[in-house]
Amino acid sequence: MKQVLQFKVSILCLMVSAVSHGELVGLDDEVMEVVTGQSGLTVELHQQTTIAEVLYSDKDDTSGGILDIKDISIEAPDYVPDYATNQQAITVHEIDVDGTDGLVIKSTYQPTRLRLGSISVGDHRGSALDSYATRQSFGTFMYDYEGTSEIKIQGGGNAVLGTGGFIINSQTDITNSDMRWQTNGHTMLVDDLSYSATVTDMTIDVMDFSGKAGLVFGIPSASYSFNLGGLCFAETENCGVDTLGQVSGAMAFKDSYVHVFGGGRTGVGITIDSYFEIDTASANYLTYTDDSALHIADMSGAVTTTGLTLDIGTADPVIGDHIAIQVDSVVGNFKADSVQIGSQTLGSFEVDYTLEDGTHDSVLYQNIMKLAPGIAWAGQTFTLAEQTDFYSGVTSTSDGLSLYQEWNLAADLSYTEDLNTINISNFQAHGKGYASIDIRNDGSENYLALGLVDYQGSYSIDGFKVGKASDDPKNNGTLQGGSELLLPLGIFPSYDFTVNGGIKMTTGGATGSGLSFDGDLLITDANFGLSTNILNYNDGDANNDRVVGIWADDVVYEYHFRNYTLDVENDGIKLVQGELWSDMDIGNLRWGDKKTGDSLGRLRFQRYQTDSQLVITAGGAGGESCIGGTGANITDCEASGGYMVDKGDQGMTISLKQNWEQRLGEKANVITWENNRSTDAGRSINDTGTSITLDNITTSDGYNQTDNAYGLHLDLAVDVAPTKVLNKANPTQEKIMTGASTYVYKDTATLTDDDKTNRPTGFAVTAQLQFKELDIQSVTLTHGNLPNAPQTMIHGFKMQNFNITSNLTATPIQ
Amino acid sequence: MIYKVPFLFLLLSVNCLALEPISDDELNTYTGQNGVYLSGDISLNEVGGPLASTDTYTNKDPDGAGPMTAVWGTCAEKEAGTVSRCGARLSVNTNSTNGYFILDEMRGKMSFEGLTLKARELTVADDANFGGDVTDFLGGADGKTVLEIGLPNEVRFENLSLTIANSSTARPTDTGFQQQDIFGVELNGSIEMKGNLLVFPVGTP
Repeated sequence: MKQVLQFKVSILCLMVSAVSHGELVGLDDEVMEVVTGQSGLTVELHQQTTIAEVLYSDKDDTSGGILDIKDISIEAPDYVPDYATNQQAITVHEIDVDGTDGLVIKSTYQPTRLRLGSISVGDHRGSALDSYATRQSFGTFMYDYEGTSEIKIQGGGNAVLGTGGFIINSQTDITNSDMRWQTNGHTMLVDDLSYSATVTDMTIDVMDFSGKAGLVFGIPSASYSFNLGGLCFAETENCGVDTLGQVSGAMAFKDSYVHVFGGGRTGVGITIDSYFEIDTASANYLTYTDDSALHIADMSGAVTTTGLTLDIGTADPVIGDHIAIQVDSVVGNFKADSVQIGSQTLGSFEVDYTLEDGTHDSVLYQNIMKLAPGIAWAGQTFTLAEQTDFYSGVTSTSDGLSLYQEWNLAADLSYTEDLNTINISNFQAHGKGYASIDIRNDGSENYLALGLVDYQGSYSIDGFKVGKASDDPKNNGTLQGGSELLLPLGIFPSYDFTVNGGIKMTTGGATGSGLSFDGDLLITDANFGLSTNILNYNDGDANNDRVVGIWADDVVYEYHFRNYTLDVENDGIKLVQGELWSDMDIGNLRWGDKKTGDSLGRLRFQRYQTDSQLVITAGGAGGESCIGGTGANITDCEASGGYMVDKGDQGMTISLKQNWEQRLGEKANVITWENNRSTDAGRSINDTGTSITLDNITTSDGYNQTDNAYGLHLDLAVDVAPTKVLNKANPTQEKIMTGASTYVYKDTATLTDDDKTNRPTGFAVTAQLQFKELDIQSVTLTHGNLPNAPQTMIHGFKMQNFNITSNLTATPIQ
Repeated sequence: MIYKVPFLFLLLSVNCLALEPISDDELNTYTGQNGVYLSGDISLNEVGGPLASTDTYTNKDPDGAGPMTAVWGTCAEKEAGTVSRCGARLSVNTNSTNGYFILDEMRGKMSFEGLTLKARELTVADDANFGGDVTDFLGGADGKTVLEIGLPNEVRFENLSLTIANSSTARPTDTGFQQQDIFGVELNGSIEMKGNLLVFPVGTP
């Protein structure tokens, strides 16, 4: 029998500390005189409250567990001037009953700190023998705040009957708020947060849902705005300069609701259904400000969440008892009409997404998050030595968060710039794996420690659909490739991986605020598509679709990085890569089917770079250019055999700069291709075949082997723009669009200006590759019988002064 | 990095490429296929490269035998006679002691419409076009796929030029630099191409 949800706070487990300082302030006669004669009641509360323990249990005969919060306190924060002599937090409530607004409570909060000393779950709570003193905890949470609120409560919240229930109007304004998360004495500080929230005519009632009673929150109108001064990892009162940066935003919702039901995924618990729709009548935005700003505005969309459950789960094989959050489905649409970096407009983005259960390769993927206290992998040994070191810094009783995540997502993503749209069709992602998060100190600074353990993920896309925004390419466009043009950026149309490793993250970028991180990752069981096609696509039978292409299969990828910084500056997002060294070992480069296609052999790419960087800026190639010819105007351009293309003002440019360094120990830039390998049970054994090696590939500044500041530059300007497409069967004719997916062929010589404006829209990438000097120290051949005796074939390549530019536009095959 | 894939194909050229002629009738059947159709242009050192006449290092005739002009610069500077080179240069040292084989002053532009990339299923019947390669590849069963590169109808070249030479040093700015040009090539005009290039692996991986 289903057990009633139990909140044991008030009776069984609320143990107010014997040293509690909670006080009720008496009102003397003089004060009473002030109160008397006013309409309503004013209550001034001076509180210094400690609560020893609060337990929440959803435990029944077969499932559930206990959530345990210890050492709760409410008092003044320690930074108030007279804290040494008075730790009481003061709150003033004015309570009134108004004929129009109902019960009205106006509250003023002087600086107050809510502190949750220790939060644990289930068997992580420790032992009753020491009163649960030795335990694994999520850490300590503190919330400082001050401000005002006003809440008006009226009757008549039942949406059907118009009577019963409540109607709530409220206004909350909080300033000077800080939030702190501490693990093992080290702090993450969310600094200088202020926010305002307005709820208008929210209804609260209990309603019947086919025999199941639910608590219904109807939200016809709600809005919020906030400003976050900074985020940092420090025990100080304020963050100072080295912060994540400033974040601010505003948002409004309309016609939304939240339904809350008793009963979780298993047994006792909580289930929530909700719907939120962005109210576009109110301006909304989200801005991240570093040296420059990333600004997202004019957002619209809605999200429906069904079957969001909260339970105390038990006995996960790795992280043990936990808080379990699971959802049956999340279906939504989100659009941002304006995305800017600095003063430059990137364009607009839209995503339609669905999170729901799905099966891939006979494995069911659900949307689950499990949160457990402590670090489950403390002291364990891993294949990656750096990961072993990472987890040697914590113990079995360290505070922290261990989590398990499982997800299954399907989405369509669209990017529109200069009224042209590229749709990334049928983005599918799923995965499952473990991670840990805690705050540590390495002797000189606090940092966020993010660990990944057997974290497996996959994503794929069908391809692109490109066209004029007015033609709605997502629904009307023709599927095409083109992701091949983004391979230099490491963007693949399909990627499967399992990752292990650790990342150390601090705040403060290369200049001012931002992010800094170091890390070591080992990716195994990886397969990524270099070029993919779907055979039999759109033939009316989705079951016979067959995804084929060129695949990097059986990949083991070791990736180490140091002194990486991420900043927003000068109209761009800038990732500076202080030092990286990696070893991508592709066991089989396959043709055809992903896991069974014929293999070209093994390819191994070893990299060693310093002071490289990646910059994303708004604005693509920009303006008009003559493709396939020369000339500054259409007449000259066409006379030279080219055609003019206007790529507009929007779009984006991605710039890479890579300094390929001389060999240092095992760090080097090397490319190896091996085939004719021996096999064992059908699997090819590495280092048994014949290989050709391009050894010690380096960049330099062109005059000696030591100066290496310029490196290799690659700039990719990404646009969606019209292009010239010839009839394969009759190259004197061009394709001219007559609708979203309809077209005619016309003789190029007779095209009108209107025809030229209706040339097909394509995915346009303008690339420029430059280097002053690129050296290959040697090219060697190694035979499997003499693996330690490579024969030098070429004693050196030296390429100087290269400047390669390309203007390529991808459209569907005709 | 951007040329990684084409470079890879170059490596495969000994045993993994096959060229298939294609008729106009077959070309008409291409409508509605998956894959990608590429058009555009690629240019090399159109205005020069990143090595500049203003470089800090001694960008001069290294042995003093020739005029003391800067070696590297823009193509405009070269035309004006203030630098001696603006193109790309590739030097190859085929043995460890005796000089370099050089492709020098590489410049030019190539443009095309209709280079296609797609996957294609092969059947045993395709073997008629490939002289036995397909039979070996399929191993007796239909359905394996290859990368089909549909050649563009026309590839236009504009001032595509290079010089083939021997040199005493890898860099033209190295001490003791001497170079003997063998011959130069300049290409203007267009090449008509029809057919498909199929790329697939054979042999033991």
